[in-house]
Amino acid sequence: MQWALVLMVWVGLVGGLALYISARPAPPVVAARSLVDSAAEVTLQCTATGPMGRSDDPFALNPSAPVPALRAAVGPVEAVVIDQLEAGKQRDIVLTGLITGRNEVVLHLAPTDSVVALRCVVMVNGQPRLNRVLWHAPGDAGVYGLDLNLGDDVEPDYGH
Amino acid sequence: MKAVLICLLALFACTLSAVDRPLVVCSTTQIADFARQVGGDRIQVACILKPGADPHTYQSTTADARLVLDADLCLENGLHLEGNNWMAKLAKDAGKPVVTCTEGVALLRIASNGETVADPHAWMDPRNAATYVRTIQQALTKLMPAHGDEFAARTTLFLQQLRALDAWVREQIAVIPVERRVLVTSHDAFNYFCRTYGFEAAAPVGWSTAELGAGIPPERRQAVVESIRSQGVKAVFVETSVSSEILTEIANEAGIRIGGSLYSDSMGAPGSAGADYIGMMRENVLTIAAALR
Repeated sequence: MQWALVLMVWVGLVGGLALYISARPAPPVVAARSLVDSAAEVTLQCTATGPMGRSDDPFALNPSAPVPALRAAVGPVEAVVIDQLEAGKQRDIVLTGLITGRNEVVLHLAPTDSVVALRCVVMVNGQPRLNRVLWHAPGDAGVYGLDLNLGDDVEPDYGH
Repeated sequence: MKAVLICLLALFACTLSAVDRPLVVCSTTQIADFARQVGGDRIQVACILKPGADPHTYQSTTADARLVLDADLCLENGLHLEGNNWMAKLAKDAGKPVVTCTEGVALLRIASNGETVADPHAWMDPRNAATYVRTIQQALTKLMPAHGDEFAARTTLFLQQLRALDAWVREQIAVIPVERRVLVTSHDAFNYFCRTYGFEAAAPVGWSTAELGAGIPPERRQAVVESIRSQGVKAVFVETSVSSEILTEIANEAGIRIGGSLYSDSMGAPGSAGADYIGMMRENVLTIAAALR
């Protein structure tokens, strides 16, 4: 008799939970934010103080696969892979798939032997919108995020 | 009655989970730590050497032989770190597979009694430790292919920790003036560390502490004393797994102090700062930097 009671309580609990899950209202659908006007040209300009290039990474799972100097992605979408960065030479990366509002541009840098400063300037229609210097420590394969806010009412960010 | 039944069931469950997990027997404390990092809870790790034990002079016991008999995999350092290859012999006698973790390491060749030998203390360079870890990951994946992705994920995570350790060590070493970067230790265990971080190494005893039994040659001892005097060495370092007697005598003779105790062939006891590889390296670097800066 006791067992039957326990079973009934369990059936009630599980059944109630199943009923709630099937009957609960669907979550509200978030409207997709619009992409930045395709006519707008957004460029990331990168200039490194030291040379960086493809080299073996001793701390990688597969160390024989060389690491590119720089990989840039807008959120999870890869934008560009650059094999070599020469000291003082500017590389321009066109960023696509940006949305109005907050974007995260992720930069993956290869390990270096010495400290390298990487100046990153984001230009929107020829006007600087963001200006950052990333300090890349020796031996480190760094991952850095740049917060790029693209809205009409957003002030340019020079990192001050 | 109910409590007894629950206890028995719990015991049975524990036994089952232990039986399910393969036993990996490691020769040294460092290798055991790497195996734990890669294998996590999927494996049982046993280490033959206790913290503070010397692998060069260790004599294996019948209890070790029994342990290896139950092993699914044995891991050794190799390059004769285990004196008279005791780990390989134990595995061979028990008919168990043994993996040498130094395979693939960029070896350092050193002169020893008129011949050139490969220095076995490769883990002292975190980049070599990364090679050990990858070798263990491959061996465990071969042993348990169904958990290969899990081992790869754990290995990637630990490699990132080794990368951070390497960068941290470089930062700490940078505060030591270049002319003071002379590392005098009880025995020649720090050559990889010195090569990677720009130190000059000196030790009264060669790469194996087994030499201690025959006594150290007077000319070698004199060379260390002269090296200390000529280079203005500020401090020397004893090791946790080697007798400090000779180095203390040398320090007294040269009129310098003991800078501290370093972990070399063995990590520290559980609960100590050097209980794992990263802790051991951090403690060593902090001790060296504090004494030589």
